[in-house]
Amino acid sequence: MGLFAGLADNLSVGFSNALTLELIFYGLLGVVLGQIVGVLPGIGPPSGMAVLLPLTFVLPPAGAIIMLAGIHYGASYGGTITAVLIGVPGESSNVMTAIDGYAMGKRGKAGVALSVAAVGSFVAGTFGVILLMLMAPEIARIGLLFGAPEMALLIALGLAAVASFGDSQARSLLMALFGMFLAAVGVDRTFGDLRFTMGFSPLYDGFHFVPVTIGLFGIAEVITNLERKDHLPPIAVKLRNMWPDRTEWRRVLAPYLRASGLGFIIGVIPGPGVTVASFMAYEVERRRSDRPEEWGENHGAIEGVAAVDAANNAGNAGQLAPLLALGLPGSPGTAILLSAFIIHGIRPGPMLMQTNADIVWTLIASMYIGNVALLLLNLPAVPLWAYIARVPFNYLGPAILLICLLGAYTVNNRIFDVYVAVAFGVLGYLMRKVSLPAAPLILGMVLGPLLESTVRQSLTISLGSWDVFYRRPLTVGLLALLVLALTWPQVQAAKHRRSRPSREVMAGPTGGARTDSD
Amino acid sequence: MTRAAGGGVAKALSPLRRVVDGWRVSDLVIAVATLAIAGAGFRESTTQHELLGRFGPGAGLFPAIVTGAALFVILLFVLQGASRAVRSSWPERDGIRRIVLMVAATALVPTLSGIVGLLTASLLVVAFLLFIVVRAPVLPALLTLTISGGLAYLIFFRLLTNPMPRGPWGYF
Repeated sequence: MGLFAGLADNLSVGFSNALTLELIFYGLLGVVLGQIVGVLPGIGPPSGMAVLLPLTFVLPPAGAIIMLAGIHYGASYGGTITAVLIGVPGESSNVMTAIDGYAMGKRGKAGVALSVAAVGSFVAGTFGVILLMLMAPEIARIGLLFGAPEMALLIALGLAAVASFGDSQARSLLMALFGMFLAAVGVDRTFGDLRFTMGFSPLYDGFHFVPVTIGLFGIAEVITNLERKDHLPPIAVKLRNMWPDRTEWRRVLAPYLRASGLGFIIGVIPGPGVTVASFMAYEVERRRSDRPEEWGENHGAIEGVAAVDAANNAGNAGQLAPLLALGLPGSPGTAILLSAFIIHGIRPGPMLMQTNADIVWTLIASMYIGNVALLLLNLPAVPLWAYIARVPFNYLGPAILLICLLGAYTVNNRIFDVYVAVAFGVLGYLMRKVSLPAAPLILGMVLGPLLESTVRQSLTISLGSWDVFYRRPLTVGLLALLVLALTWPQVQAAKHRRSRPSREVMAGPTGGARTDSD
Repeated sequence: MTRAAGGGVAKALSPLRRVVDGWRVSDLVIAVATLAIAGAGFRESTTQHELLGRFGPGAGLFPAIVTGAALFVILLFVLQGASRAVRSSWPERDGIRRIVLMVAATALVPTLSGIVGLLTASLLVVAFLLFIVVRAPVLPALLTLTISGGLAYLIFFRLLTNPMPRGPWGYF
């Protein structure tokens, strides 16, 4: 009782601070800027926050932190908008939305996908803030149990979970490994060795995953649409199709809750970040689904869109738990938030609740307000966004290409990234033709460096002994889950083959066209 | 005797043949490309970089694991083969022409950006796509060009003030 009374007191203090006109303005500015950052491919939340960080020097501490936090969680919804409308994920955590959400958009369900995502963001964001408020110190303590070996295994588990994307586990695994290989290209950050550069100097900095994502999703989509002259008619978007019906709401309710819980837990663990959370939540729902045929680029599952957005937003709230309670930033975005705290003379960590409790509770209260603001901003805007899907691809395609080319350049301000985006655009198109999924490649690129550094740390701690990965109960549990994740699809496939021995899968418009077996 | 030996070999290879029989050209390309990339990567990781150094894992360990795993997954790929993959159609000659034109024009953007600036180079490619490749009607094409160019200028140059290549004449 005392705990809840204390919480209520603290929260009322937070709301009384956050509901001033000045802080409401900074919060709203943050979420709007976050959405813009999320919409633009090539500019991630950390870049957006970094660019705007100097602007916050002149703001009061609470205003600066509220604005940057707003960018942090506002960006994930912005990423959903481009993912659904043009199939280009604004952030790596929206990659799966670019598959299922975009497929829904192509069926005239862009409004439904965006509404489900907006409400999911609100539900999960609010759920995440409540969990953050109730359990931040305790959860951060659990997060500390995750040392380098546990994190390495968790990341490997995230990669193994994607192995069942697409039609074949081997193809998905190959793509994830290819992504990790691409991430290894360039200067090794520890020893300074040049890896796989073949003496070509632009490769010294390696491949950044954003130009690769832009190529594989954005440019490849433009190329695919140039295949046919008789373009598909513009998608008919009717007002009654903008909102999910009762059946659709029922379908997304459980995924919202499951993905919120999973997203928050993974968000708390420093390292994996919301990208792993979104992939895992998507995979959990895909495996639970009783409509497996709807998942993927041919139809698009509403549960997938709901799960990814809920996991993203709950994960963003979860990431604040170790930051506030221990001063540990678990992602680049929270690292910038940490620097904003420090710039304003506030040191996050165990003493924060004693020294600057008012700032923490104002931030938490502002996140409630920010989530409501995001919902109020986005739901009325859904019809407007969805009408963009009516523009024929003949006009939309070249505009997408323009954003892709400029977006690829802005990542590192180097022209080589434009070449990378174009090259991966062609590769992405060819990958579509030979059924190689792109999402595992991106996940491999994002998680590869993290996996390498955690494996390296683990083996350094253990003086090169591999038993560090099965010495503690937690690592044994994670290892068992990893083995299960890798072998389960094989067992399922064997069962499937036994029940339907020789079924040739034919799909896609083949009428009159050549197949690659010719 | 020879025929009997040949029959024995054929019988021994029959499970592999059954697998490979279901393959398409693309599967073979994927397998060969993976073997080549992963093989070369594994070789460089193990011969040019340290696997385990004095202070812990060397620069070659992780890529060696990744490329080694890729070589192992190829076995899985051989076993799963083409039977699990969805067939997709290739475009007709006209479609290929449009794709080649678009890719060639887009690949020129980095070179052109050094002369006329990145935004102008990208807009030239967009114009080429609209007028030549998809042969869009003039008015909507001009509208698309103006709106997308204007928005791109506002966002990338005015709002984000990105230092983009402008070329010797200071174009955008």
